[in-house]
Amino acid sequence: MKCRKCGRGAVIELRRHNAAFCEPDFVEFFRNQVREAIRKHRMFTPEEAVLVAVSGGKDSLALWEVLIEEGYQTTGLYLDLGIFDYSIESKARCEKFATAHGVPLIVTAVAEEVGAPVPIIKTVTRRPPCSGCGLSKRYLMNRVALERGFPVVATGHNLDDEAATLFGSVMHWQTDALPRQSPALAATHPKLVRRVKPLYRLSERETAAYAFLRRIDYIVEECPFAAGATSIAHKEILSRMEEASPGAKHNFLFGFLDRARAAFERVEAVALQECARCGQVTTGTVCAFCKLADQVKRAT
Amino acid sequence: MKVILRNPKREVQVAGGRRVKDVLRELEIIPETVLVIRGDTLVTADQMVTDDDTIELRPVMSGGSVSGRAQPQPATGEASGEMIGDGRAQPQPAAGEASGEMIGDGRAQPQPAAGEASGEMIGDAS
Repeated sequence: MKCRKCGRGAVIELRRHNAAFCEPDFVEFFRNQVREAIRKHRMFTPEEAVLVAVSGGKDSLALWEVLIEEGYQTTGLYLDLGIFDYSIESKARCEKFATAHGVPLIVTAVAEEVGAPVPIIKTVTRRPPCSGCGLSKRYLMNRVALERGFPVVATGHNLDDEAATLFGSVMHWQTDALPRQSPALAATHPKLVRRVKPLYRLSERETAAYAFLRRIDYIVEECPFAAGATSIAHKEILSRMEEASPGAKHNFLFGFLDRARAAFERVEAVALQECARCGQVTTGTVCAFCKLADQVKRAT
Repeated sequence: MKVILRNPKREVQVAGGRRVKDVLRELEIIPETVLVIRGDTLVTADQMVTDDDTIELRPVMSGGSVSGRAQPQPATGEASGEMIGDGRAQPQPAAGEASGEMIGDGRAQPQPAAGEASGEMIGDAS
């Protein structure tokens, strides 16, 4: 198989693009997709400080590397979830990356903020571990960005993540979730920072290939709690569709973003207020994070 | 030839002298779900592998689950709306339970720069 740009031997075939690339041309293709995402959704400018949420996995470290290479001002944020060896190893990957690239890394421990690590939160709440974990991560990303003066948080969500989320929302007709799905969420309140997903145009396989080819030392093993998650099942279904019909995931997500999402936008905006306890933004009186912390405190 | 699989890491022996896609087919692995690594580079599905080769089939999916008989079944019982790591989907509150108000609820969506088509793929995927 030959590279469609230079004709040399290809290292990766992208069936959805009916293309194959050699290593240098794939790297350029990848970065072009990130540039296009940032430009199209006006995610951030070179003058802005970007907080990059990193997990030690392929997506977030690939994102961080591209943004550094593109000359953006980045700081990493690693949220230590306290999930046994997985967290120890993923944190080490992030620290190693930050040191090698000479970029700052902020480490915040969920256990210190919530009162217990994710495995204990799971037991206390009797909810799936991803529930309290995701809530804590979204809250802490925003709060850390606000406290440290970052106007924007970038996450490593890729096309597969976004397509799987969309699939889940459609399967349950979560019409309130559909308009929130976007490559860029604006800061609609003084205490909400912008949230952007510069990898949303790139598939999981493409981010993995980029991380591998760029010799990024990422954690291949995934979180032990992820096994059996519904989103994994959705990704498997979508991968089978993609196999039968290259471009299916891309068309599903981009068709939604371009043509369907606007139809789900609410006429009346949800009233946002500040949590009576912590001052962060919520739709209620006390935010879900504070309620979770209370629940953990009572039980431990 | 030797094939290294991940999550959990293990090895299997299969016949070489054929294309990568034939090896994947035998192992019932969807090509889209793995990187095929030989040495320090990636190989495409049409490339030949020999009996002396060692290739790693590295899952690309967060969660590491690869469909196929070479994979153990994921544990059940922890089904949830949200993934750990990079795939942060929205949590799905259990029925009848008060939903946690999330940061980011009710945000208006920024519009992409005007006048642009989007979602176009490079190349002719026809």
